[in-house]
Amino acid sequence: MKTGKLYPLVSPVFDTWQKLYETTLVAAATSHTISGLDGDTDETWLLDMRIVQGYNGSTYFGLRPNNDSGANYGYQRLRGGSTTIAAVRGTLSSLLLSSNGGALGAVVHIQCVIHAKSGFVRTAVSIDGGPAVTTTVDYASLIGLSWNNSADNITSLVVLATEAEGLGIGSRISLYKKIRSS
Amino acid sequence: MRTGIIDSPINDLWHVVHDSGELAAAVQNYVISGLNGDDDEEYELISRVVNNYDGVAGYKLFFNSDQGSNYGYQEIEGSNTTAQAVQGTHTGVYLLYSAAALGAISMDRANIQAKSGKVRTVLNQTLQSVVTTTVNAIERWAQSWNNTADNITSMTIASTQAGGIGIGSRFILLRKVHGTGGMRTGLLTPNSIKGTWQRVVDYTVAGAAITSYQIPNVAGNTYPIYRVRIRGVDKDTVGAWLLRLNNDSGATKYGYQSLSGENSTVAAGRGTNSGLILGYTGTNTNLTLGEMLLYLKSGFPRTAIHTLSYDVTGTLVSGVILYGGVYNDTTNEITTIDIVPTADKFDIGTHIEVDRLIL
Repeated sequence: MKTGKLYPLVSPVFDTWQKLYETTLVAAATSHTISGLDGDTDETWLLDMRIVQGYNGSTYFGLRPNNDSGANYGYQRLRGGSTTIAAVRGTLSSLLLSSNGGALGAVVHIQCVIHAKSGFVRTAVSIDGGPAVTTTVDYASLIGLSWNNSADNITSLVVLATEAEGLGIGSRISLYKKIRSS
Repeated sequence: MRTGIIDSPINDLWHVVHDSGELAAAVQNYVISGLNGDDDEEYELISRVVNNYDGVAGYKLFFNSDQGSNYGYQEIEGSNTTAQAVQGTHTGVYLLYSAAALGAISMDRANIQAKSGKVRTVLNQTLQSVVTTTVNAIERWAQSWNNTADNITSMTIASTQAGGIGIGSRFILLRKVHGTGGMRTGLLTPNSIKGTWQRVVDYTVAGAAITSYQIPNVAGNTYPIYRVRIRGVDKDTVGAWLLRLNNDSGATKYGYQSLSGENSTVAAGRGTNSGLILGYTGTNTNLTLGEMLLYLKSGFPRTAIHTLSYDVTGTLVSGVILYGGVYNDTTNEITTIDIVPTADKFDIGTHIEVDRLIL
């Protein structure tokens, strides 16, 4: 059945992925909170971001479930920059999505799969690229992530920059969740 | 409102805006036109190319008609045991590449941030040049198009060789459907939605650990694109979490090329296995998170691009791996997909999600 574009006012009853949240920042911010989430019901999220650097210099972009700012996050990164490929492992105070030394206005592209349901340590795998300025792309990475909290339902995600107003104007954040037919 | 098969875009769902089908004739360039990047904002491009040139062939993607040196890239790559990184500029987005072999298969998965106003960026992963069970390379790219002004209205995939995009090649472009336009409806209960991802498995191991899981109702020639995601919980040391097609456990039927990072060690490797590697755990109770994109249609070797993190416990993420994989069977339709442990079991809490693209 062909129709024009359909705009259902409630989620279709179908097993697929639907955009749960999307925003484009109209003012620079140090962090942005997505609230009203239910990780135990959604189980998996797909996070897509195009960040415009609002800070001129080294910044890292992270994600905090429930705004947990403790040193409860692990990462293993594989990254290429210019002709150097390197791996590094460590712990941080957020899920590491991207870290770089980019310039104001540079673009960082991030995609992250998050297994959100409680009961086990939360895991995520992220790829990122940038910062990109004209025809220079500084890094390409693959990052494995963990949040060492198996108990709490995730009800919010905080996207953050380590530098003030690091999330620049035009940064776009999209979050997708599963919708179900039953 | 119950409906039959809806064959139109639905707000907030990704939707196929172009499917070339498997090409019936070789071409040098393939054009996807009638796009509106400023409206759509994002695209996902899934490409599978059959090299129709008896030699090295490269494939690039360019936006609108821009073939100038306006594209930048940063790449990491594993080829056999060599891991490397490369950065530079090019006359298009690097998409696919074939080493010198007529009939070699390459596959790419690209996410494109298309809206004007900023430099356009692409994140893509490339399975490079497969012949039987040998995967020439696996690559992760981050790329840019240095044009902030123009709306993207077309994309062209171009081969460096005349007729280089061979019979059987296929390009599928999905777009994000969003905005406030369109026909408002109440609750829709469709039988199916053409052009979107349909989740066919959403399974969590409960009650007792299991020794394998079979994905039901697979029809690889009808639904050639599958996406499999697993969050695995180890029971007594699984090792590699394998994905087998048509229950084929032949030890040399599956080839792979890997690029990995473990602690401060980077490594690349190539070999064969008795399945495609979906995850890995080497210790009881450890976790793995893996995602695999598969091209299943018969006629050519079946290919896969996958990423995974392994042996996750607490704040320790032991490693990450980027894989390119192949199943060296061109003939049989894929009707079963099994996920099996190399050893022991998948523990309670193991979660498997499978989507197929309805084309």
